[in-house]
Amino acid sequence: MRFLFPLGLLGLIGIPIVIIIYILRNKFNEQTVPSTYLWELSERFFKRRNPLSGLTGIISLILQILTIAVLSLAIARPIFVLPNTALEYCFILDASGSMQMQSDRETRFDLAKAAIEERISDARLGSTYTLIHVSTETTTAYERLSDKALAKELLADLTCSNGSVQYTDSLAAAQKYFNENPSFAVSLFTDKTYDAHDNVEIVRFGSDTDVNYAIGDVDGSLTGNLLTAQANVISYTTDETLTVSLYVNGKTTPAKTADIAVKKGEATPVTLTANTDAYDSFRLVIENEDSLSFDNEIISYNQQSEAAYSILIVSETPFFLQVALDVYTDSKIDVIEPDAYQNNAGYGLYIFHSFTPDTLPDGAVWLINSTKSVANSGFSIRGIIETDDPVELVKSDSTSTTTRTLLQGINGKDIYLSEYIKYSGMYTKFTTLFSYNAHPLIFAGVNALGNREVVFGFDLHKSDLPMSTDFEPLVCNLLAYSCPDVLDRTDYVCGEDVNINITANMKNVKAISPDGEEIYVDNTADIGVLHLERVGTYTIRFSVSGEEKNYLIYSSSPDNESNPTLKGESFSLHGTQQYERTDGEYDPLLILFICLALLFIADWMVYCYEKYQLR
Amino acid sequence: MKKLVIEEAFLSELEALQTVLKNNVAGMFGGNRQTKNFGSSCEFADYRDYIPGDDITKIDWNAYARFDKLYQKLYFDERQMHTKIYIDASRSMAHGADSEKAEQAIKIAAAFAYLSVCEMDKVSIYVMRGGQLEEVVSGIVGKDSYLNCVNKLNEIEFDGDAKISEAIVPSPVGRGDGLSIIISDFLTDENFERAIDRLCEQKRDVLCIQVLSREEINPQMRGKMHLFDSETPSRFFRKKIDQDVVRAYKDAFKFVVDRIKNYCEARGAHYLFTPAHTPIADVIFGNMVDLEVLK
Repeated sequence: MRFLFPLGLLGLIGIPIVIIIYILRNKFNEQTVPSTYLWELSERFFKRRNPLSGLTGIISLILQILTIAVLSLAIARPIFVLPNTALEYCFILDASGSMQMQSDRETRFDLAKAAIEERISDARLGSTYTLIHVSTETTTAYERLSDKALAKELLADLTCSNGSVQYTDSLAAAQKYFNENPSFAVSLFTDKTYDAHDNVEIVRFGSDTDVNYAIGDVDGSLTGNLLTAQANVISYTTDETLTVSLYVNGKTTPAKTADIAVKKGEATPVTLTANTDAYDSFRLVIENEDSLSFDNEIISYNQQSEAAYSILIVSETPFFLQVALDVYTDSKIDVIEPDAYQNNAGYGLYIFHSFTPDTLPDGAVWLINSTKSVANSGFSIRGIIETDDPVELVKSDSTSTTTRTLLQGINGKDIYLSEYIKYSGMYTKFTTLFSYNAHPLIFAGVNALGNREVVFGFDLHKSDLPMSTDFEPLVCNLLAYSCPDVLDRTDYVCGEDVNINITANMKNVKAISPDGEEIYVDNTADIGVLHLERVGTYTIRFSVSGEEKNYLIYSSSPDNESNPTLKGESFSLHGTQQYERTDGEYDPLLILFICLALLFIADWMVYCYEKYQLR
Repeated sequence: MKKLVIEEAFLSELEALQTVLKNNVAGMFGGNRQTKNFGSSCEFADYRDYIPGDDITKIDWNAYARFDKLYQKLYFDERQMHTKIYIDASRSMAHGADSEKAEQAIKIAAAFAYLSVCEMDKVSIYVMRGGQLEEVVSGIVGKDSYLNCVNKLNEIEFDGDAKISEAIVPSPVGRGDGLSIIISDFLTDENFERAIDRLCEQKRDVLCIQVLSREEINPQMRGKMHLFDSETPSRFFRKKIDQDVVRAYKDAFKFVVDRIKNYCEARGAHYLFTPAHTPIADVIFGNMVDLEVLK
């Protein structure tokens, strides 16, 4: 036996105090009465005394002593050790999207949490609880926790994801606990069925008869003023006629509705059209009710206009560049003579060829054959080297991501120069793409203004690069680097990572989830990653040069999470299950309180017997 | 003790009552109280043969015409009764915050006194203090006298002890001339029976009224008690009072009540036990009427 609060035993000091009070109070009370005649006369009528009457005082004292003793014990919280009665529990809670399917207005996830809570309640005190939350990321909510209340509280805080989950990490974690203690009772609370689940108890929720439909694989195109929206719909458990509606540009009345006959388990294409001059988005919805609502709609966003930017070329001989850029971009390209350059603003990319501006503009910049140092460029110029014989550019063999991206599809051989610029003081970290004799001649990085910068340390006309087959892919790669599209696409599946191309002048990059949660994206790297955990529309918001921009993407439900009768892979633990229990504990607090109540009642009964009974 | 307050309505109601006397009244003065003797009242009683020398105005001439013989008409006599009320003025009667016993005793005395003066009887009220009788009101007749004197009851001091027999037996109690009322708690060793005997011997109607408080009737005290007698501080009772002791007390109480009651009944005297908290109207219009002291 141990005590949680041993200081509570100090309450036993009350026992001698009660005894002292009893002794001090056990004296005759003096009182004057009109006449003692009747009292004296009563002696003649006094018969034998009820033996209980003589004991009432001492019984009351005994009851009070017992009350103090029990109360002290209750405060001290004695805990009795019961050998071999407790277990170590490991609950693995599936929080995949399909666990949000509803049966009788309760989701499978809520039912699973209720089942875990019940097991915690029923478990012997002294048992420990480990909970692995298998969501879009597997986390251990708590490990070997023995506090039931805390375990339930933490369990209540867990939420269900919308996406698919990977069980590998949870299985590995459970295996680790099982290896440590083969008597670990591992239970998986899921809605999937597993044929193989050695040493793991599968507690399954949901029914094979749960009805669910889903829509996916959306595609849309605008031809003239006709919007064509395509998708696949599926009914998992029954043959059904599904009503599919098309909503355009966020309108709440459908532009088109169609009934589609769908066979059980077969993806059936559906095509709906609507007349519109342009569209920002369209939404396809299955109107039939089922057990999982969020896989019944899908939205496609059109963001072409947001990706547009313009290019300024400042050059006397822009021919090569203009031709190459025209191939790879639809963006507007302005070309001006160096003399006409007056710090023009408003372009996404500035290309200076054989011209050095006094100050760098606020935007991505290519400095080609800049012979003068310019502030904030991140380098200075030592001089121009003229060679007697042409020198060959050497392609960087770095394996860094940026280098590989920028040199993608480039052979890099047989590119010769007759003149090059030698740089020094490169105080900004640049990625060198080509060099000669360890002198960087084509390099890229971020300048002191925070804008992306590409530097060519030679005149294009004094090299055979423009004539090389590498020129156009190089321009394409550098263009994608300098003015990247913020997003590659707008349709994603919940659980995917969204790569956000971060340009240097992007500030306050954040995403707003369908729940309204703001998720800040790391904008220090070239690519910010957003992990999609919910189904619905995410807004990616950032500011460029003080202007706020919003990009909308749709995170759709994963196909496999829509299937109410999905089978999982094997979920087995290696080893031999043992059934050794650990020492449990018994907290007699309730019994102590019952004893306390009984003692109080008994004491009152004795008191009333003395004071009021038989009057 | 609260001041005695006589309500006019209560007094009016009292006037409807009349005391019932068992013994023939033998007062010296004429009054309203009819006796068994022949006298000169208006109420016809009997006939007897005429004897020469009788008052010829009382000859029944109608009877003479019918029987040809002279008959003398006889009438009842009416006398004045003398009601004597003895109040126990010991300290035990006034014990407690409310002095409810003393208050009740005074109220009863006042009520009986008023009843008597309404019947044109004479009323005397005495208090018994030690072995002596002290006169509070003496021989008042008529309502005016009553109202003038009744306030004296408020001036009675309840103190010391009271010996009923020593006070009453030597006193001139009168003979056959009315009602004697003893109001006391009768919680005494003293031989109060002698006083009852004395009054009965003198052919007076006797009414003993025992007034006791709540605590005396049903004691609530429990535990170890050291009880002092209010009249005699040297006298005490020390015991742990529990249900057994209380049960014995109640037996003793019953014994005392029964003893007085039986003693009174055996001598043709009336006895009434009344809790001090009983409303005076209930005592007079309820208990007394039931006891046939009043009608």
